[in-house]
Amino acid sequence: MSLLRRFGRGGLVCRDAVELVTDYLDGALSPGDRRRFEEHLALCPHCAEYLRQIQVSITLTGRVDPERLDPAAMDALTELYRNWRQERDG
Amino acid sequence: MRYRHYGHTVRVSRVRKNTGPAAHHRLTGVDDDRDPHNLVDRLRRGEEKAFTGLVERFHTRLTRFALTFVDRRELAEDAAQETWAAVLDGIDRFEGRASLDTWLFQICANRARSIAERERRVVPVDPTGPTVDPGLFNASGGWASPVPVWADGVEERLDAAVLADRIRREVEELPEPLRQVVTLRDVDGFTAAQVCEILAISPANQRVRLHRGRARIRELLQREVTRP
Repeated sequence: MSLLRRFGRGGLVCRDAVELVTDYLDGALSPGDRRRFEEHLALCPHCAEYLRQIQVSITLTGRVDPERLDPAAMDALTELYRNWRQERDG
Repeated sequence: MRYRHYGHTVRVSRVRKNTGPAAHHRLTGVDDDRDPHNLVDRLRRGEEKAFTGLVERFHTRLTRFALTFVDRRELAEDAAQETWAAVLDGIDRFEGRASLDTWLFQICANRARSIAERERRVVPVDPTGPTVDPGLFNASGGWASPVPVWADGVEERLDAAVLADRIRREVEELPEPLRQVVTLRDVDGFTAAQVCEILAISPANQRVRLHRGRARIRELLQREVTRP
């Protein structure tokens, strides 16, 4: 649904702009909505800061490492693979 | 923890059901700096290192992902292990319509869902409502008071290990629908399209869940950044 329909003809308000951040970053806004969002950010340092904080959050979430692999799991899966190969190759 | 061997009992045809029309996108991911078919070929040829390399890279991620569907660690381990059995079972039929890593997580989602059903686990509903506390806005929808500014590079000044640990715990506490998407997108690095394929959800739903999860992590960081 177009933001024009959702928010009327006036500009975006902050309460609604913060909900559009991920759509914006994913390039999922229509050209018109994107322009309205960017116009809002240009005028609103608080929403611009909010967007930046979400971007920092994304970066930091990307630094969460997976756990270490349990060697017992690797052994079991290696055996699974060998069994599979043996069965397949007769 | 026990590990079972499944041989050829896992049916891949069931697992691939969710590969819908969105599944035609390019091959990426696992071996993206080389020919992605190469890895699949090496698996088919019976090259053990190709398999153990994949396990090293994905097993704990698959387990973590499966834990968003089931309640117990050992059930998540089962789902991950069944995934590998299904991969081997289906590798000769793998057509590369999805990337190999997308395929892995799709299989895992299906295995984990079956286990969750068997365990009669209640499927959690997506949370709704605004992602930012409505009390922070005035009557006309503007910020009631300025958003506290995070100093440039503030994230570099916090103890990286402590921060990563806090974020991990926050992600673990997200409601499952949010946790699935945040983990796949922002931790594992899948694209929006891949996440939609893996979870069989719409692009709009993917974004709603992701945004809600990110807003929660931002709130956590807000507390960390402003901690005296």
